[in-house]
Amino acid sequence: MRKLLFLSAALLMTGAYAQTATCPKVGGTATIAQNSEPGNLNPLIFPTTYDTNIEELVFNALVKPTADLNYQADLAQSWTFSADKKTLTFKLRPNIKWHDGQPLTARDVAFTLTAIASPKYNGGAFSQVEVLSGADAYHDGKATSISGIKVIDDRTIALSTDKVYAPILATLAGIMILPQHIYGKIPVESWQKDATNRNPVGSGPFKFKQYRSGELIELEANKAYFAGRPCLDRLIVRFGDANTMLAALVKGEVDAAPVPVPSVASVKDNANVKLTVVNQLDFDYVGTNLRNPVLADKAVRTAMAYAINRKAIVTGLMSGYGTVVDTLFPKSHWAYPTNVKPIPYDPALAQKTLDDAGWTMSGGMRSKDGKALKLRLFYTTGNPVRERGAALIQANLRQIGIQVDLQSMDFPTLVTYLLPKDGQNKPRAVNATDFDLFILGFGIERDPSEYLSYFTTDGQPPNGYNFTGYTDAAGGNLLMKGQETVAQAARKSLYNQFGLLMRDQLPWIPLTQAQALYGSQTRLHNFAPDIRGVNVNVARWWVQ
Amino acid sequence: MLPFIAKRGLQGVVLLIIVSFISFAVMNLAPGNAMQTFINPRMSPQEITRAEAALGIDKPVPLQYLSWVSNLAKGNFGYSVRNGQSVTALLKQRAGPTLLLTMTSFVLIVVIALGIGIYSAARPYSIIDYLSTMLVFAGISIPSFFFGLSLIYLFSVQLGWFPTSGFESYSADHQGWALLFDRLWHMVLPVCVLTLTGIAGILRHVRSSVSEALRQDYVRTARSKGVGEVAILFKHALRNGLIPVVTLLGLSLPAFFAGSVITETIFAWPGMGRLLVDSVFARDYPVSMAINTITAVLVIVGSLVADVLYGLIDPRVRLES
Repeated sequence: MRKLLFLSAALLMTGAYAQTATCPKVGGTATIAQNSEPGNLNPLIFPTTYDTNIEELVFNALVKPTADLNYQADLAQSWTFSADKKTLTFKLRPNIKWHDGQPLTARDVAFTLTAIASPKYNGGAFSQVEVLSGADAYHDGKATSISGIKVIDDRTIALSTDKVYAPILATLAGIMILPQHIYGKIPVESWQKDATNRNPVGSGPFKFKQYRSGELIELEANKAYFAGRPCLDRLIVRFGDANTMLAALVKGEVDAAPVPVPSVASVKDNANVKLTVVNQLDFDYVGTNLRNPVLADKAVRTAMAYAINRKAIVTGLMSGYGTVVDTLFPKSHWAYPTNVKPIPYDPALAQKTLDDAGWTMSGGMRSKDGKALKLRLFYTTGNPVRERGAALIQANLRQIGIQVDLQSMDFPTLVTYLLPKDGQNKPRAVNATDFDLFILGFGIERDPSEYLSYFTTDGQPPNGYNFTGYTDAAGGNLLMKGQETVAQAARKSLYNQFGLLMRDQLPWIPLTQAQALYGSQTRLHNFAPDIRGVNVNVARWWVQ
Repeated sequence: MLPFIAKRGLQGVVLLIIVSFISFAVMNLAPGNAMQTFINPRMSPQEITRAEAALGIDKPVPLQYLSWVSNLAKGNFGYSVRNGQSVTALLKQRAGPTLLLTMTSFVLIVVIALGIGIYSAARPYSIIDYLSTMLVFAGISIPSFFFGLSLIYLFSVQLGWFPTSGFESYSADHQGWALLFDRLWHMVLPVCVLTLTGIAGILRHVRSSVSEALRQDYVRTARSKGVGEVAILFKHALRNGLIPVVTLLGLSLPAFFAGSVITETIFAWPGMGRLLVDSVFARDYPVSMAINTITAVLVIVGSLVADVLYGLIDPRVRLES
């Protein structure tokens, strides 16, 4: 008996020690700011970044990405691939509980994945589980369950696909698991309107406490969190205009807030605010409409790439917080081909490229076979770098004899050009005159297989996001092989080749990659956002 | 009086229908819809189409309008596309803060505009008159977002006197008087912005209208009879001089309500103005339509009230149909 008591005391002490080792101080409240209010807090209903930032605090997925975009345990303790690589078996951690005290089991995982495939579900995540065997049949109402999901016991679940699908961990990292005992009682078609969206029960490091519309969300520490309680007792997320939130940060009303680049000086001069610069995986590019014969001419795209002074965008418009991008992978991504030849800024070479291709200059404008080199460039409003960048690109291209007319619009409007609809409001194919050039950003977060929808012939709207109309089988095949190859070294090689091919063909002209800036009060410790987001290590934040 | 009110009420309903249809049509003519703001690579275009159908935003605009009107007739403003909440519930949460902000500023505007306007009319070319002219020009020419940010910078960040934004403090659980004081403290800067930017037109109007009245024959007659200046101002001139001001106030109230949009956004005030901005950017038409409709109702009711008051104050105006 005495032995047992001693043992439990020792265990308790190690527990306490483990806690103080990660939390120099336990307790207190931190307030962070974001520029927009989340829509709802059901991670399976059209999540935006603003939603996900908060949902990640309340919910868990089976696995989560590491800083180098590998995968680590979250709800799952371990996972094993079958010999044919088509079945993935997850073992959940023991004794995980929902915030309301109910146990979290493999049945919750099965419930979540099945719900997304329901014929009545309309929250936008079905394509993520479509790859599971039998998901399509269930979605079409031809089956009563998904054959590819097998609950083996409370802690074990096996997921199978019809063919090898390498990005499956990436996909599952993006699906947060919902409690069956709550969402199972709500018809899946009503999820979007249900009150649980504003009162979520999850399993994550923080429990939801209150949501004040237009003001804030309050969360409290989940003291029974399986990965150890967070150091903070309370976390408040406030929403407000970027300038106002920055003022609140400088005044000390909030502990952390995003910093717009033009305001960076006010943070740098403040002794109480620490500036954190974070690399991101998002980059901007100029998309081209390859259905337009002028843009189908590779010489025109290449000349444009040489003529755009991307370095000037970084130094002049982004105050140096960013880098130029030479292919469709940012340098910090594992798929980036290190041997890629940088795209030079060389207006003379651009001129020569156009000369060689038969585009002759007269009166400051180039033409070929009576066709003038005149293009429209669509860009979205609300992002100063992109807005001023568009003007810079226009000036750069004018120098080599390409006339560019700028047209600014908000994002939903641009989407109507890229994913056009017919007179009956039904999606239709893109044609050569819908648009010429557009500036957009792309965030390649977890797995490059996302590009399949953008660079395969089948992926052209209305079936996918291949707005550009890229139809060369070479690119599509590399992506397809990448999706079917599990060995990381082989995948890396395939995506490297894809990167080199895109640098050569330039269906997208890569521009720049911005860094994200965050300011935090010096009283907030361990605030360390990275490519995965701002709240990635929230459990380790502590306040003085 | 009653037939007049009934007739104007009926006209108001017709006007409301026209206004609501036009704003519905204009919103829906803008390219893009709420679903398109959600697009991301992990979602297929087919899923977007399916969600559009589930929300009913794939139907032709007249059909969407009819279903909106029939829901409205049942007292239902629909559901927000962005967060799935019932619009009525959303408006209930947001109306209080907006009313608090706009009504406080409105009372201040009326008091200050009448006070300074009447004084300036009675004492033209005095220092107060010149200062008030400057105030008016400042109010007209300074955009409220700039003015708001300047106040935040000066009084919150530099001097630390007031909170930068928000409805109340979150650091402590206030109760009773402490909470009231805390909210008042948060209101000071946004009320300043709304008051200064809203006061300009009304103050000018009061001044010109009262000084116009002071130049009338009956004032000259009263003066020649030896009536004192104070009695002339308050008994004779104001009675007539303020009639047009009443109309102006009645009409400006709803515009003022809508004008809090920028101020609420700058000060992160959880009111309807900010909700309108967010919903317009998110193409969340059920929410923006509800706020537009409420504003239209306020305009119609405001002008009716102004007309009725006009008749009560000025016996020359007959409110007969």
